[in-house]
Amino acid sequence: MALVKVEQGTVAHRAIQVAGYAALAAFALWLPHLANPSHPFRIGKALFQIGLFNRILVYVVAIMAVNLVTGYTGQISLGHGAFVGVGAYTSAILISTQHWGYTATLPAAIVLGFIVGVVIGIPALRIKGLYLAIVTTAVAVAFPTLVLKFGTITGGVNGKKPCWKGGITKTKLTCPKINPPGWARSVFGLQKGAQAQWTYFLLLFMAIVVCLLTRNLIRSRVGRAMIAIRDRETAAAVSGVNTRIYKVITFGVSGSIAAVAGVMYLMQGQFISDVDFNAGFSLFLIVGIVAGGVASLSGAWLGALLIILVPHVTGAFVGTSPRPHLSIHQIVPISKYYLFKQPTVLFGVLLLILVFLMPYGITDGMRRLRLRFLQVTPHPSWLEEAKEHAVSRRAEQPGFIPPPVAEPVDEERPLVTVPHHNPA
Amino acid sequence: MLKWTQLAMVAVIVVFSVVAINDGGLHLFTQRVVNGLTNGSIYALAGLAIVLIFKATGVVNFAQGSMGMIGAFVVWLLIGGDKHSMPTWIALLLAIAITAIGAAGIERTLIRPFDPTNHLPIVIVTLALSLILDGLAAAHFGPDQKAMPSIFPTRAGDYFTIFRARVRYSEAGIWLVLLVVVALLMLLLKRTKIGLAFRSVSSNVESSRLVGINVGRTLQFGWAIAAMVGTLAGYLYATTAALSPSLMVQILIFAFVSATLGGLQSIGGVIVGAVLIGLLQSMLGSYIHQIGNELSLSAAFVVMMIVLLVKPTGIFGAKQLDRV
Repeated sequence: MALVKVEQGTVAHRAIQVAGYAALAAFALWLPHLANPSHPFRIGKALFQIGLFNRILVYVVAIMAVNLVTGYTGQISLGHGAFVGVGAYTSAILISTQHWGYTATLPAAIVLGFIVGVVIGIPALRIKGLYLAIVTTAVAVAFPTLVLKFGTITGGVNGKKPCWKGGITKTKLTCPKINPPGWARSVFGLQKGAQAQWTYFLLLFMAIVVCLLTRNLIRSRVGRAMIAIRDRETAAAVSGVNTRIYKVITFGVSGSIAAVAGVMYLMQGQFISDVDFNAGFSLFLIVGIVAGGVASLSGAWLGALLIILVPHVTGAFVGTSPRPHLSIHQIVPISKYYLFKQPTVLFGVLLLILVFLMPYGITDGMRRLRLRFLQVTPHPSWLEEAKEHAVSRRAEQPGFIPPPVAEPVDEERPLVTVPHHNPA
Repeated sequence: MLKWTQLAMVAVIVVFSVVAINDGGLHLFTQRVVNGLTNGSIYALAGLAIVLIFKATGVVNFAQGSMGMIGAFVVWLLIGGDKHSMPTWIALLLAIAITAIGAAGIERTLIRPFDPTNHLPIVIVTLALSLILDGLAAAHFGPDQKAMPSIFPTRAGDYFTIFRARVRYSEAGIWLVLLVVVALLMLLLKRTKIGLAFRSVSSNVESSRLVGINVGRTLQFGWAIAAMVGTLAGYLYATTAALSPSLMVQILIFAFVSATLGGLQSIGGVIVGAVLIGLLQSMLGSYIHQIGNELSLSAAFVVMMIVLLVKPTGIFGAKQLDRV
């Protein structure tokens, strides 16, 4: 049993919530300083670099895009890497040819992502389940070959930088800079020209905005329709949900969000190439969803943390990733064991352990852990209201016998999707 | 059902063949057909392994490629690398047996503990498994490519000609292996008790359990059979290409596409789908210059998408009934 019980909506409950969010915010603001080599709490000399956190934020948004389609609407997509790629290449091409800034390319990327999402979403009206999964995999596999085929615009195998040749002699490579403005330097304690740190704050802002917008979408009429489609498509259609429109819209919006992730990808790396958006990238987004928690916004953050940090740290254990100054693999000489010579082995083993311990994702695992200490019970007045409502609706039907009053449910079950599979 | 779509497909193929023969001559055409058939046969074997597991569990096994690759490396180890200390065909049979046992073990330890109706964790397990197997192979064997001896004669003169196209014995051997495997699988599934149990489980898990079938054991059997076919696919592909830890990466994608095209549930379907994909890949890229080599993969995908739009459950897939 839980140590503490809190009623939903009480001051104590609100205080816990506010404290939680405040702790998260403080952590997010403190993170970039962890990457500072002179920081007292640094781990290793350069184990965590700011670019790592920036990449995590990109993955957060990309995972949210996949989650919208796969987690909330139940259409398995293994092709979102292509949508992210569309956003990234749109931005890079616009910057290098039109000399726009990053923010100016954002609307274009969003619109193009929406269009591509809709185009992929239309086949999804007929193709379902695993067939859709394979079709979207095909999209993910085909995208890099398209990039190579149209190498004149995309840079092909040489990749693409968001830069153009400028100056009087047309030889000087100029790229839009992401420099912190004066107010930001004083507020966040950044130094002049701290591009990576400022990128971190920009990406954090974008990720939070996308997160809030997604949350609002899920709680709106559209979002409820999406969840209804996932849970029982036929029942949703019978209840008046236009499943076709909503599926296409979901794919479009998801494509837009993925395109935003693409622009963020370009902002943090300032270089993209075809291998960045291969099928493995799309697969890892699905890994992130399942590991973090399907159909959960906080799951997107945790999943992104997992799929970036774990390979990074396992690489560090084995001594392949951050090569200079790093000493973890000397402290814990795991790479001496033959089995763990390759970092992917350790990553795979950790993934297995995670799925065994928390088959419904980290969010669910953390929720269960939290329930041991803190239990949030619904407000009694809400329960009464809901019960009366249910009884009155059913009482109108003939032959109604009032049901025995059930014990109140402790907490809402997590929204876990089980893709409906019906072997005919 | 939907006879006209099948007729339309045949018509498209015939028209394309006539145009192609007219364009490049009969010799080139038949040679490309032979190449396509060989590739298609390997896709078919890999696809069979995927279909077998999908039929039984409803899960796509992303580790299938890595399992086939490991199987090929087991053959390589048994023949002692370049030393050829054992006849290749004995090594192949041994490797098939070893991987079957290994796959049965994997099913028991990694797959069975999970709720079979919740597919996503199982998919992640297979992904993790593929990461582990790939990493182990890379750690032990290194990234360099190794030549795999064929079980068929491969000297310069070992070929016969059909319609002026050269068919090497090793290529014809791959087709033959595919036919034998399909025949054996059909016998196994249709004539044996365990085959009946397998078909029963893949049709309805609950009812199978009620009539006394050991569902877990049957699924284990499915994994073992799939691993055997997968090892064959890995070995045969290694003889045409070269053996390396990334052997099956591309084959796996083609196998997925073939299985999907055929309908994911049907053994005959995956063969037809795979041969179709193999032919498409060798034909589209070489005859339509705008597509070229780079886009032959994408073109095959586009064809798959068109087929699925007409028949959403593949060419031979059963129509899915949805109940509320």
